[in-house]
Amino acid sequence: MSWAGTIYALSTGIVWIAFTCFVVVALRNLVALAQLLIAAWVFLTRVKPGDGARDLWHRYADLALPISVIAPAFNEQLSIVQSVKALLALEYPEHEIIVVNDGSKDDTLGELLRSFDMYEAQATQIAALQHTKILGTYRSRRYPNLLVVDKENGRKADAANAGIGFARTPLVCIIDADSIIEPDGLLRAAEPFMYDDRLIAVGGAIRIANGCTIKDGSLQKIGIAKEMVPRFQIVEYLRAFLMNRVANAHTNTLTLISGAFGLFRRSTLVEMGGYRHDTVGEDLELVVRMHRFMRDNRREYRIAFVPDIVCWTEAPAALQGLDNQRARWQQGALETLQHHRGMIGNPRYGRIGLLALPQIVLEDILGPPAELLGYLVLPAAALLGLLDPMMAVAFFFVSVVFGCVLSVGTLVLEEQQLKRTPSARDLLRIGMAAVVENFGYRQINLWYRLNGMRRFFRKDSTWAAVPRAGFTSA
Amino acid sequence: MADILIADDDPILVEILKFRLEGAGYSVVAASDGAQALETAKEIRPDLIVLDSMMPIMSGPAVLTALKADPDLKDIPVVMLTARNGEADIVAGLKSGAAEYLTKPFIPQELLVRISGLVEATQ
Amino acid sequence: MSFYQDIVVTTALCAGAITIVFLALVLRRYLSERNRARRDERDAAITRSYLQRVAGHKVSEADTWPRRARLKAISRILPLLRGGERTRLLQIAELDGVLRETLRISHSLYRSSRINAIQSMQQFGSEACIGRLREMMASDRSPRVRLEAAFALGANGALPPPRETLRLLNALCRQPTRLDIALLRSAAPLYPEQMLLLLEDELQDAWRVQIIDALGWSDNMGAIDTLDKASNDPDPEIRCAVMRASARLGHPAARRWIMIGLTDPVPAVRLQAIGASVRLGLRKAVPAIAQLRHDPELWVRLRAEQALEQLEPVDDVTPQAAPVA
Repeated sequence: MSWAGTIYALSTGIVWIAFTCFVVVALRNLVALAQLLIAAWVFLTRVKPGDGARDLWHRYADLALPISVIAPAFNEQLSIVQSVKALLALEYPEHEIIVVNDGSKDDTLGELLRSFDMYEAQATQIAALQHTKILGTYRSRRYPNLLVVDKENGRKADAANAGIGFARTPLVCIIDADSIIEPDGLLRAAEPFMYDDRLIAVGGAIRIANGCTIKDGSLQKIGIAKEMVPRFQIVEYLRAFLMNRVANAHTNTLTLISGAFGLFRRSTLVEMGGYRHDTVGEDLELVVRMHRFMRDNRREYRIAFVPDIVCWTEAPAALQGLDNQRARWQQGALETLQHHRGMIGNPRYGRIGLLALPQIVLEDILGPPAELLGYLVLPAAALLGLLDPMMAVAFFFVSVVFGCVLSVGTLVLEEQQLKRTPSARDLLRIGMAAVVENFGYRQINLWYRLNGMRRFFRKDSTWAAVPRAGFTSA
Repeated sequence: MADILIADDDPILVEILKFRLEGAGYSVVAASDGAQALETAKEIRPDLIVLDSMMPIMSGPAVLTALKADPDLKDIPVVMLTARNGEADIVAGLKSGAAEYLTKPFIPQELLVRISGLVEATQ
Repeated sequence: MSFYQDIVVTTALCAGAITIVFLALVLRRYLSERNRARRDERDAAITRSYLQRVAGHKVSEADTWPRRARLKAISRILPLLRGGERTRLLQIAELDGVLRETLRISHSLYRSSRINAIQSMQQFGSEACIGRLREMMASDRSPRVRLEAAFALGANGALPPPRETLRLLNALCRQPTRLDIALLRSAAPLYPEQMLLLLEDELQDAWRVQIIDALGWSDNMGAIDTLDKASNDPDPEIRCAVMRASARLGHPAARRWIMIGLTDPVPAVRLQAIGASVRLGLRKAVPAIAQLRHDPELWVRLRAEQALEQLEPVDDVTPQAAPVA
């Protein structure tokens, strides 16, 4: 090949890469815009939860499906007692708390046993979904609805599975031990079950607790963290929960219920074998597998989302810590897609196969590298005179400026509908974060996600050897 | 005649309680947040304090702790108002020295009964 | 202008527009915070004025208070009043036109406003409100609004007869939800006879089950014969409902078929029978329940164990009303 030929091939290559990046990023943002509009429509026509239904719950308490709240705890010695007290005080006609001590190295178990006056009990496990050994179960003399399960250390998925096995109620709520549940969070999340018996899972909006005043395991006062990283995450969470999840739930394509709070039908979870143990993205995997399971078995089902806040969770306060979390999320998404690659684009799985999973592919596989690459290739190509410089400017607008539009748009939804920002000043602060986020933070995040991809490819062979346990077919 | 300090950030509830208590012959001073309540308490030394547990600036339990730490104020009986099912609040309240607690929503008569009991006991 | 320029301009316009909307919301929030003290003062004044009027004082008041603020105050005071005071407050509200305002909102084009109005009317529960609620339940275009109106009526003990309720909610052509069950239960004590008559209609079994369940809430001992007959029904769901209803009704005659239910071939019925025995404190059932500890069905064994704990006298543990799951 001649020198000129090489140059020509190279420049054509660059132009193609630039176009691909542009199209992927534009497509990704168009999807997000559609979601924002759908979410706005949902909020506009939504009926705010009132006292009427609540009155009914109180009168006919037995119609409210009893719930077991499953809280896996690992090394929570300092906070576990307060957390459990807050859980016991949740507003709900009938709920049980199952704390699973996941082989803590500290005195988590001892704290529980002393504070709640507990004795060793022989609780029967209805389904053994965990891979580790159960060491003992304890009941409280003071609170008949508290059960503590002590087990060998596993991962969160394993601890949650152990807890699910001990639950006897029709619904189970799986949380993180450090999630701060809103006093009426269970009630809100369980409400959809009153209207629709086909429901198998409900997720709810989660907010960031950094900067809030927390006392005795419950939220005293909403606040905004001083650091920028948590503020950026507030915007991210708003986007994820108020825009993405609300829109997906409305179009019946919800594929993720956060591990920090999820309400599930127990029988379905048990049939499916609970969480998978061999993925870091067990919460995404669970819901995707749920869709698969129900559709494979041709059962009618629904998965819903309540936009009301159900729980608060502590987010990484600095970039250090965030990097790991984001890389893990990315790796989890890739693992899930790999497990269920047969569903992607498969009309057998209806809108999950045709819409929801391709959306994850666009968002999680194609999106991050395309955007990062675009930042480099487009300006370079424009400088070399290979492309219309306006295209590079347009790329900047489509990725960064449009990102601001989406973030501020979600914030508008929040203020118009939920109004859970403490004051006008804080609202303005988050608004600034929503803009600033797109210059730097967003790009750093993309980088973390590429790290997650690297981890995924590195570990690829290691987890392939793990038996596909917990995957029951009916 | 006993002086009562009511601290709650809900003006409608404060007004209702004030009306009832004044009707029963007490003189009532209101504060709309925790810090103001503490200041007023220092100023007028009421015979009884009604504290809401969820208030801006300083929460009820925080005010209570401050009251109990002040030798001049620590003997004033405190009635704590808590939200539905706020068991953690109740436990914390009693531990830090609230004489009584009432769970919202309550009927004003209930509060009146508790208050008159406490006021008689101290006088 | 090139395609890319179009993109840039459109995006910039979007960004500008959304920023303006956002800033407007921040301003709205800021103003409402600044006016908060004044608003609180006004709310307190409205509250005071109503309380004084309820107590029979003559009050000369400025009529500049907006109806919505009055409505808010009244709906906060109402749950704190009882008996005569409550009635008086409602009369005053009617005089002030606050009620009229609510009734007006109940005609709003927005579904969520209409539902808000329903919630206020539920609280007031006056005759005009009940009338309007019935109207909404019968003819509102949104099924959700009709359902909410039905709840509000249920809460006020003013539901139309059950056959009518089910027809208005288009219920019979679908499966019953938990909310339908709640409505039937709140209709049962109002119309015990009609509930029994309803059972003679052509009904899906799923609905028959729920009507039998609701009989338990009717406080009508006349239902006992129907339950007796239904306790032999071939449909196990119906037998389950009979167990629940009998436990709720608490008629001594029910003991006979609850005891039979403990040996029913279908596990779900045995489960409900155990629950019923606990609810009625049926000591006589203890030996039969003890047998069920060796039941082939895990759930029955678990429930039986729990039931024995509740039925057998343990020193400091009072038997709780068992959930009728």
